[in-house]
Amino acid sequence: MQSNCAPLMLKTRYIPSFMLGLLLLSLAGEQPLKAYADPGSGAMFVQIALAGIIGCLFRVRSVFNRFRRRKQGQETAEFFPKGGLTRSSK
Amino acid sequence: MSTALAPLERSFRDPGGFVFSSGARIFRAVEPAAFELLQDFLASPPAREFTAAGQLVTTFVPDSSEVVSEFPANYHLVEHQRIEFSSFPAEWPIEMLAAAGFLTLDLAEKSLPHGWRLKDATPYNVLFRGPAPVFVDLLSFERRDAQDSLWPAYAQFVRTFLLPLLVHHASPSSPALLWLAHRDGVHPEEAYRSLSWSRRLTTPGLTLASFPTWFAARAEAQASLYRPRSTDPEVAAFTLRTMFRGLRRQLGRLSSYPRKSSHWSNYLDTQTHYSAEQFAAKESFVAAVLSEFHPRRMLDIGANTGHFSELAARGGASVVAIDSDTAAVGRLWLRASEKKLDILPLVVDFCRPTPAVGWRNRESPSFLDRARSGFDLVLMLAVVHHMLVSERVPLDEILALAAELTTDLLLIEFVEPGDPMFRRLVRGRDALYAHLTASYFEAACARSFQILRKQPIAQSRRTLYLLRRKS
Repeated sequence: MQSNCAPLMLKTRYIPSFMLGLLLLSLAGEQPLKAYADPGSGAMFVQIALAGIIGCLFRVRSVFNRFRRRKQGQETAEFFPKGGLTRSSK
Repeated sequence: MSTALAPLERSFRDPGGFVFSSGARIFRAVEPAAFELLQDFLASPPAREFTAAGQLVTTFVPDSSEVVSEFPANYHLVEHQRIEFSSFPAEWPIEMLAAAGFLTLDLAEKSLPHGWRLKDATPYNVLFRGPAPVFVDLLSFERRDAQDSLWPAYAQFVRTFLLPLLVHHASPSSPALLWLAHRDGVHPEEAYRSLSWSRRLTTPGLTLASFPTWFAARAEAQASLYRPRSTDPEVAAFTLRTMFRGLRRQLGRLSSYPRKSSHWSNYLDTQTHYSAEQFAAKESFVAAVLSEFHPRRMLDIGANTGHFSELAARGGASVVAIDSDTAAVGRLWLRASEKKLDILPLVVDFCRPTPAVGWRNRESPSFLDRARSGFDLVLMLAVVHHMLVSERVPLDEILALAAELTTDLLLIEFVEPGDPMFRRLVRGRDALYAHLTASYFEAACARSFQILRKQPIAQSRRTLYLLRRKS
């Protein structure tokens, strides 16, 4: 019984990947004529997508950093009041 | 002084200039706009840094009195330091291809903050000086638009560095199989077809082969695919830096996959046909020749893991070491790089040497055209019986070709048909080789060479000969 199930279990591991593959294949259009196929178009597409993602991450990080700096600035202002630290006179 | 220049026809693709050789010197004629750019680049910090490190070919403007007239009058001339022996990706093990890729990425990345970029990224921009890669195509550098977040050479880098490595790991083969058939590396669609489903759906196969294949048709349908894209300069620089880091990570991962040892790569480790004493005798004979004759340039045919190449390199020789076993050559390159030995290891089958390829069969000259009369010592240790039996090349032919390669000495090991390794190759066809006696071998040598010395290896059927080419 166990020996019959093992191959099935092995195959089910690949189902999500297989479905992802089918989904992505369905996005692809007709194949161009090989003689006129551009060997760099797919990679260019991937590069544009990657550049977009990296650019978005950069902007998110910039906003986050600005927010963090402002918060740190507020905390600093509370810790070091305006006018600087003065020695209290007795 | 006017010198006759011969065009190196592999350099015609770039409209910005072309390469000439004049005797032993290498010149590049550059059209005016490209020359201005080249001068700016050579004065830039990354160019100075890479030239000082020997990673960018040394370039200078020659004395005008030496300049010749056989190029368009308005062109400018620069001279490059000569790389002694040109080699091509069809002769590189994957370790050398990866090293050329790392150098390309280093240059692209370090040029970025100084406003430069590489307009192409192909292994043909790189040659090897010993085991060290040197970037030679200086016209590949152009000014970068600070707002452009894309690298125009990205797809070419993937095709010519990453996908060949990926395909090699999926199905290891000789580099010649790929590069003699394809100038432009492996297209994503070809790589995709050669990968198993599991490799197609995991990185790096997913990003390098599968996504580009799946999206190729969709991308081609978009007329705007190659339109310039502008973004904030800070974002553009960050994007490119991140992309280079990603490419470097993928290149590192693909070039450090676990290597399977090949039949020949363990040859010296597992040898059973020499006793320790016999091997020591062979080594001392070679060492004595090296120390007495001090060869300047040596060709080691059938170098295997390069034990004798290393001996010669340590003695001051500049060595080209060839073997048909990709894994053995890869191991030799790693050792030569680590120990900084002047050894250029190449995957070349001496019985089927790299042919001339490319446009008019002249873009990459054949191995023999590059090697002919290029060495003052040629080493052929324990290889002649393979050529005689496995490749069925007659002894006279082998010696005649050796005489074309060396300008002076040939150190050759004769293995008699009674030797156990010879008998393994013969597989019962003993009658075909019954005439191969020591006297027959010496008579054949005497046609092109003078026998300087000979030393039988004790308790074996092998003899070492040092021959001098007859003038």
